[in-house]
Amino acid sequence: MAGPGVLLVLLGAVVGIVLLVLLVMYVVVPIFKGFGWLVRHVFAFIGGEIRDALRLIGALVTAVVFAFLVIANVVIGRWSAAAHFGRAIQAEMGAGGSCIYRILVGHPARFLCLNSLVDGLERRLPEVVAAAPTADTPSRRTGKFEGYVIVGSLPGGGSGGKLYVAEPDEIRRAAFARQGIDDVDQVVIKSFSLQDGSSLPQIVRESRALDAAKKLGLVLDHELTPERFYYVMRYVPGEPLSLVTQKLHARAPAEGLTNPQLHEALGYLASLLGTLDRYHRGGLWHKDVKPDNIIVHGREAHLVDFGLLTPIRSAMTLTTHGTEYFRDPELVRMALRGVKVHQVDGAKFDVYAAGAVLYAVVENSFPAHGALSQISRRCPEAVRWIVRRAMADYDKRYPTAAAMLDDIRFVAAATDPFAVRPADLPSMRGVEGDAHQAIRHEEEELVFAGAVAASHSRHARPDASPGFAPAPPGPPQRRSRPRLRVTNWWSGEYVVSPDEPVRAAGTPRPHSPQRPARPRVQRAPAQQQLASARARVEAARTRAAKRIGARPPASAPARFNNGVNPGVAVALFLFLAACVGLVAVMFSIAQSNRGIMVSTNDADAPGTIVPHPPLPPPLPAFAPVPVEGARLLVVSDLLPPLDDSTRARIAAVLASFASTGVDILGAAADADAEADTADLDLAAAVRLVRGQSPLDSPDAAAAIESWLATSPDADAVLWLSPLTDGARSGPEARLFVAPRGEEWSAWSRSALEAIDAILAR
Amino acid sequence: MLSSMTTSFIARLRANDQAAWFELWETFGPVVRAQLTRWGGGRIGHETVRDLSQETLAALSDSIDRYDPARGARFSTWLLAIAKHVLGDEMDRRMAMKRGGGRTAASLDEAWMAGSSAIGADDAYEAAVFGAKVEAAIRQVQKECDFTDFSIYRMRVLDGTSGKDVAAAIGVSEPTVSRRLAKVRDALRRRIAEAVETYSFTEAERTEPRRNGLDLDPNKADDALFDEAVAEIYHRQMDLRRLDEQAAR
Repeated sequence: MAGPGVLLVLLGAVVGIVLLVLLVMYVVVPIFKGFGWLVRHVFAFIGGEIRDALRLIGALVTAVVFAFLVIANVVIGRWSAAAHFGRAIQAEMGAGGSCIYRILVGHPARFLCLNSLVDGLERRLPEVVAAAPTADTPSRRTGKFEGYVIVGSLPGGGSGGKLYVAEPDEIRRAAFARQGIDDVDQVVIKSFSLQDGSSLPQIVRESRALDAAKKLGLVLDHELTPERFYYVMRYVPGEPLSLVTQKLHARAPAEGLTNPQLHEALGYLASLLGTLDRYHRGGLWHKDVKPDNIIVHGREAHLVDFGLLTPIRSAMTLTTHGTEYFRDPELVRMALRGVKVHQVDGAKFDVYAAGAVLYAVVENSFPAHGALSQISRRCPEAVRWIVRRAMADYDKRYPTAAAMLDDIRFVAAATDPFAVRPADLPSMRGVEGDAHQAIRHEEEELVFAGAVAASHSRHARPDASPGFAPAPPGPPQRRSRPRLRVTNWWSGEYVVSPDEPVRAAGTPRPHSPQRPARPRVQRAPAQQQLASARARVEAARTRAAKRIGARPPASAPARFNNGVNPGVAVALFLFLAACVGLVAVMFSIAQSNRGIMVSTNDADAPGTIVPHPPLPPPLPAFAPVPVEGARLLVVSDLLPPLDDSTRARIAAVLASFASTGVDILGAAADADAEADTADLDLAAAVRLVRGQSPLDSPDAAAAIESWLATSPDADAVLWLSPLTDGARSGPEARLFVAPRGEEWSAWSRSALEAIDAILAR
Repeated sequence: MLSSMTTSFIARLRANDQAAWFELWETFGPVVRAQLTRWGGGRIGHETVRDLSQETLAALSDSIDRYDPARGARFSTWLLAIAKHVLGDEMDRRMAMKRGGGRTAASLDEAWMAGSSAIGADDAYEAAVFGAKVEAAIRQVQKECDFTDFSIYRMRVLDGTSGKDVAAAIGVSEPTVSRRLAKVRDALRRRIAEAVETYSFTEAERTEPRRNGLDLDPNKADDALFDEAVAEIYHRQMDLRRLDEQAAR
């Protein structure tokens, strides 16, 4: 019997222990953890409040010290030092403001777990403020831009230049039209002024590739003076790709972009790569490709900011300029080794940046790990491959932007991009895409035109590209060139075919049939030819007008808008509301003050909220003064400022004297009032007579009374002094009268009694 | 005793080889920045952290000529001590304690040459420094290997894709994937050994790979373990860089 019982007890004990352990693990421990978290949370709040309060005090103390330093430096004429300390005060005030914000808003919000609530104030607000445009008009020192009307400004980039949006006037538009540049409605002027803080190196850097940029149509106009430099570009409305990316990801699920969004993103990249390819073929290298420099308008991505634009064949040394995360680290290494620009293929650095941009669009983040950055969001394997290939080592990445463009277009054209394998990409199969074929066609045209040297180079020298290729002078020469046949596009292997002759400029293409010579006809007279030409032009104009009229009305192009937008309207509304509120409060306060005044004088006034002050008790009666118009000189030893009680009691005393027909001399009752000069002389004379004798001594009384007996200007002296009794405080009054008979003595006694009664209140 | 690779690297630094300094900055910059951020305790912003990490290397360039290998400091301690000195200097400046203005800034004595526990290097920092060495080796392998080979290694080991899927994506057979993986792995072993030799001052630092599961001797049985350890370190370093990037935004 004992055996099963023991077993049951043991089993029960084991179960109990297990339950206890489970209870501790799943109930007690979480509770304690929660309690610990709560305690830490509370202490973090309290600690934060105390820390920021101390910082605030420290900032204020420091600001006060800096203020003294500012004043001291201003006094001794050190203006620069004063400005320096002034800036330090600004910094301290800024720090103090941040502390106040954290004490009042930041820490309480965090304490209540409302971190998301203050995220906008703490993160987005500073970003937006920092990116705010500059003044809408150039400063007086910068001057105006001839031929352009400034209509707004844009946030400046890292180059230090100021960006203005402007509209060219009619003369300038006509000049553009003569250059073949049409539809220039608005432009962006990038201005560097030495007087506005720009430096000469900035100006030199910005102007380096200006000519090439003008030939490519990127820069419309420029001016360089000893003091400033500016250039004009087309204004591209839209949003930067960084912002578009953020919006894409805000709409996308957490795991990454959806298929339509991916198509949209790949479309932007295709647009960017097409632009880059055009630059590279034009002999230029952008050098600062990044999402902030790509403006998306509709489905097109426009590359802007030509501050670092560099000719590919430049003889300058490479510089490390660019933007971190979008700049190939190899570029920095080469620049540090002093490599020249023409010794490297600058286009490959743009390809790296394009890969980094694709990474940023897909991942909504910077490629902080360089070529090793990993895409963690939803992304087709083929796109990952393209990013890696673009950001691969200098020798292994896409040789051209066109090659990358082919791959991008291939993925974008697929119905399901996730079904595309890296092995299917044109670059992997050794197949030329549309971009490559277009380039090959152009290069063949170049060969046909005689630009033989550039035929097998994708990065044609500027003088070999379409816009820069003058026909070689002299008689056509027959030269041979090797014909290359690529056998492996991936590794670049090729075989050399036997030489074949090259056509020289002007020679017919061998595969095209020779055109039959046009039979020579009799020409019409010049006037007839002219009339015929005019008729043809008129007919063409009529046809064009019909075509234009038949077209659906095109939507107006987006323009720069610096008018009132909803944000500005809301801000103005809030400001006006605040002003109205302030005026209402002030009016209310004024009304309240008026109510107090009324209530003081009229106890029955409606609407008063202030209690009625008690009326002063009636003044004690004086005996009538013996002589009508007797003059009482008031001398006071009371130290200003007098408190309200003392002032009231002295005023009551003087009012009592005045009510009995006594003229009051001196202004001792009101320390702030200016006394008459004659009264001051009298007071000085009586003080002189009294000398150093205590006021309550017989000597002082005798001296003053004898002075009164001889003085024609005063009949009595009322001397006010601080009360010498330690138990009480307040004024003490003594009345001195010239010995002129019993009437004066009676008046003096009654007046003193009344004065004592008043002062003792 | 320093290895020949370490001494040659220090010689490059002493010769003011800009590429060597950039290499040091690129490899250990995120680690130094993370450490400075931790020390700053929220009192210094990321911009200041970046400035300070650059100043750390500048201070290092000033002191490199006085480096004495006989004192036995670790490479990680060497970096850390200088970073700490730079941060202290910044804190003094913030307290308006100018040099010679009543109190001198923290002096850069020679304590960093000795293995001192007072420097305060913790396990997380040591792991980050070792991870930075491995990352430098991966980066080097990426440069020298064929793009497809490294992409296969990356997809298979770093991204965790199966061998079959990698073969299908690249359009090669699975044995080819295995062969190319082995090729990259061997290169990576060599490069890790070199990186550890280059950036190590003490014997304890040289044995770190083995302690972290990276056996540098070719051993078929340890290949999987080696790959796993590389992937883990790679992802840890990526998290570190991601934090650095977020701070920079």
